[in-house]
Amino acid sequence: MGIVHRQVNAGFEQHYRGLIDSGLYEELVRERLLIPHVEVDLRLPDAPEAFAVLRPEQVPFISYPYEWCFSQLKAAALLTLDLQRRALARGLVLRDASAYNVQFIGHRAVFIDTLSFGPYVEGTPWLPYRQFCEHFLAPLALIAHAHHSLGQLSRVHIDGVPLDLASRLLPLSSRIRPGLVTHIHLHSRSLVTGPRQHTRGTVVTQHRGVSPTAMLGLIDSLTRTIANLEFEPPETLWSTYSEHSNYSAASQQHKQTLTAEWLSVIEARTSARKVVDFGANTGTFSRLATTHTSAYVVALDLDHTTVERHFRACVQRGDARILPLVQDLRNPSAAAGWHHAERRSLAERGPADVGLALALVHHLAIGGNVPLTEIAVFFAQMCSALIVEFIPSEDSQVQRMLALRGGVFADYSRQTFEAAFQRTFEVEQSMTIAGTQRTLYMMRRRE
Amino acid sequence: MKMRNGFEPSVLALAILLVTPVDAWAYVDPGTGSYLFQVLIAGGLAATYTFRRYWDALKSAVQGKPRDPSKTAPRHPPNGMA
Repeated sequence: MGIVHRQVNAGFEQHYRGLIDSGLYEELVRERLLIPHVEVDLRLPDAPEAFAVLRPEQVPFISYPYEWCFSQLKAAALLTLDLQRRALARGLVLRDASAYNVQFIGHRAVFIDTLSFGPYVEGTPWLPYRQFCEHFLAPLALIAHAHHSLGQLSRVHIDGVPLDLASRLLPLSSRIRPGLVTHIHLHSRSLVTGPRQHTRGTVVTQHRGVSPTAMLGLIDSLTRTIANLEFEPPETLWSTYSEHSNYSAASQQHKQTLTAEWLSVIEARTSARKVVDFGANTGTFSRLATTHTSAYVVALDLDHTTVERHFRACVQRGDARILPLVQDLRNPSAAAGWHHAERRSLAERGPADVGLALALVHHLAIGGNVPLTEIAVFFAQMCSALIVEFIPSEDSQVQRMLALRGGVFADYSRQTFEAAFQRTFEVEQSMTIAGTQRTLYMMRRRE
Repeated sequence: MKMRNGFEPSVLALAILLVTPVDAWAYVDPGTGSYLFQVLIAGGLAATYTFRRYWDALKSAVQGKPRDPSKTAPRHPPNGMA
């Protein structure tokens, strides 16, 4: 992966200088709310319009709002409103309020769009008010009041969940909450949509009438509305997975010891920069990776409520090196937006130095119907070293999964697993986990 | 603010009085309504915010806590940016 630079064109010189000269940049960077940058002398010969080139601090792993759990999206929303309030206090304003302007470094939300700030013109409405409601408030309200899976609407509506859709999906109970009534239900009805867009009418050339106090009132109202949204993750199959596994304490300990040892071996060999924990659940092994490597750990799990619990635990610990994300490996994030280039797929954001795939392969192979050879190819694309666990069909958990599937998975065995993975990986070590029939492997991708 | 049928025409009618319009045959961006909606609710937002500030100040005075200095009105833009 290359280094991200950002060009400031001459047309934005005053905006950029305003951010710096007002002291806002220094304040936001000091409080770690805005990504810091350095100006570099990197004028490209075919870009005469360039005024400056910035090299921002690099974000270890780019993630998208549809991969965040409720608390991550809420933190990003409150950060955006906080920035708008701080900008106003210095005579500036946020010119857009896209959720994609926020990234996470560990548990910490940070704003990355340095050029989003412009001059505040007294009396003008907040230009990105609707964008803020569609990117943040609508999905948060849907998760809190309807169902957590509705956070995935942002995958389809990459420029925000339309307010009329959110208004129709929200339950009746949302209509007794003043913030949601104002900013979603009434707001959605004010939008000029459908045939009315073509009707001879008014083209607004001046938007005045929102006093500075009203502007602060708007930000305050949105902040209170967002802060009052709560999501208590219900117990799911996955959030209670570890409590119902057939591991004894000794077996679990042996698995952790082996994983830790092998992570240390890989760390000594490569100084791993990025570990991806596939099927991380609430992050037991993600934490292990942070203690035995110097890497940044991306912890993926398909279950929103599990990621929510994991993220809350990271916040509680102040964990700066683990990023929990919602990701279903059977349908991972695809490239999206114009020319498939605005949002990158999960694979395009890799590969990792180390992948952890613990108690996962049987879910993909049996639960997800993915052939073992395909699973091996996927991991070879995603990481150069792999610690993977194979659970044979004799294991009681796999037995339960196979019970209703007949003989469809007759070729699911340790031998076929090894044959499939040895096409793309070289097995460096393998060990049976004490007290189980499960095997842990350390593999290195064939080059 | 009450939710009732016929809200949209009332938003537009009131908003037209509050902004400077130009008659035209044109494609109207859906976001236009959002701007006008802000103008419409501005009075209520300002009143609520002002009330909260005084209320918070009163509470702080009673409890002996310092006020939040961030909740001040926006300043004018720095020179050269307006």
